[in-house]
Amino acid sequence: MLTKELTAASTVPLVLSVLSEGENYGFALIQRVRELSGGKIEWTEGMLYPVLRWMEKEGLIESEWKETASGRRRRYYQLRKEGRKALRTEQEQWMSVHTTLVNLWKINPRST
Amino acid sequence: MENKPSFDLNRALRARLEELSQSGSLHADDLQELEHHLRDSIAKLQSSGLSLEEAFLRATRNLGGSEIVADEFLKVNPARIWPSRILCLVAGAVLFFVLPSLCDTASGFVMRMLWRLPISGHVLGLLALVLRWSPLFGAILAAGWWMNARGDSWTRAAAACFRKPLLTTSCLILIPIVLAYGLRLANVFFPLVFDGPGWGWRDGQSQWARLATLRLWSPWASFIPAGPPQEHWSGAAFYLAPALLIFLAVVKCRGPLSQPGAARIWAPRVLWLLMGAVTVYSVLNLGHVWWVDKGQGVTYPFGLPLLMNDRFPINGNLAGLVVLIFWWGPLAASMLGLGWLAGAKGELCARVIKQLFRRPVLSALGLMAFPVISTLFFRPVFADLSLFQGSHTVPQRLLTVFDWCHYGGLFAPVCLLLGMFVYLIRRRLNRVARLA
Repeated sequence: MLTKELTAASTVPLVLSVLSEGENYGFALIQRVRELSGGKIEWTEGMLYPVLRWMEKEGLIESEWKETASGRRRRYYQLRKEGRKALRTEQEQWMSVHTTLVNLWKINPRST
Repeated sequence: MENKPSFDLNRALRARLEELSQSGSLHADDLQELEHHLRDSIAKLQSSGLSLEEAFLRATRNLGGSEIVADEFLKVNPARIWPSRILCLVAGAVLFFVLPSLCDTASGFVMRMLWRLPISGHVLGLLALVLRWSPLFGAILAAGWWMNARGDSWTRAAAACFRKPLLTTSCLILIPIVLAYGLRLANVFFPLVFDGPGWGWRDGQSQWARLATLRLWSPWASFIPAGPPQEHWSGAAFYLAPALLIFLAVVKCRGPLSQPGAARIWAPRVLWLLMGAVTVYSVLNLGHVWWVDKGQGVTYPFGLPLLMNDRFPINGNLAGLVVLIFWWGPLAASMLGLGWLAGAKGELCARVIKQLFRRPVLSALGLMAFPVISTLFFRPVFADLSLFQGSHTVPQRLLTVFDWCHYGGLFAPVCLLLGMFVYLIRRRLNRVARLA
């Protein structure tokens, strides 16, 4: 399980990344992250929506209510241009952290 | 065997969403999205073999506590909370000043005309009482009705009070009257407590007798000049009517108030209400200082020093100080308590108050020290009006007590507002500095 701090820090890049696969709605977004992380990333589900709302305000994503074939209404989110840009920045930053850690741990893999 | 009531998903969902909407930080859209989320989640959990009720419980647990989720929404929808804050602020201001004075104007006009007729003082007093309070109750009733339609619990409670408007109104009018008579009886048995002659209750045809009777019912009836001062204690009916309204509201609010987390929702509202009242009081009194300064006379806003002065032959300065603390202590304490109830998270007013009261002893001393210092400062300024001599003759002591209440009392809430203002500015500056 991730620490609270890391969960909070990784929410935005995770949402951006899942949405880069195509538009999606909140519940499915959570399922996708859970599935990809092998259950290691467990969000307090209600906390995702304020984050989505914040991202929408920042202009990273946009949303639209749609009705599914089964008649259920859902709010779908998709990336905007700024979101793609933000995703690239996030990618660079997370990769640089990742590379640094990997390099360090290659020298001294036991220390954590 | 008793049948276990079947689980009603829609009702359970509604209750859960209501909890969230209570905080006021979620848009209707947000609530709808959360509802759809819960339904999806429940459907998925059910397909993995859970019963409907278990699935609901698990899904809501996964969603997270209402408080935490609402707090997070508050961060992204800060504007959502302001209408509610302003509503409370205005309500406080209105309750304190605007509505009563509107009621006074309206009822005073009618009463002035009725006064000329040879009507019994009791009838006049009763009429004055009804005229005085019915617009206020009417306004609350209307607000309650309006908000009831919109499902907001803040004034749904007020609406519940007035579900049977006739019954409630008659209770509101009758109970204070009964209490007022109770005080009259108390006066018979404990004449030391209420030492008015009480002859007003006997009514009569002379102007003075009628006036005294009318004033027993409605002491604010200042449209008729100068009455016997002994009836101060008898304002019971007048002051107990709104107190009763508040009591009824609290009784009716038991439901919403006993819900988990209710304190966090209600305390900030009451806090903003108090702030509204304090603001109006301060503004009014600042104007009052100017009024006094022009040498047009002094009015005394408080009847307690009068009672104290008669009962306890202590030094006027000491008595004044005691009255001052007695006067503002409850306000400061209730704000402190509400700030604590509301928690420092999320709610602006509560957070500010909590900051002010982080060291309660120091803050309380500061809050009291300011009025005391300002009183001392104004001693020479108002030397011609105030005596401040702490002498032991009754009129001089009385004036000294009044001075403390008057000049000191004015500045206690101003000091509180000033403290909040300074804190807010400092916070804003800190934020700007952090960004830069």
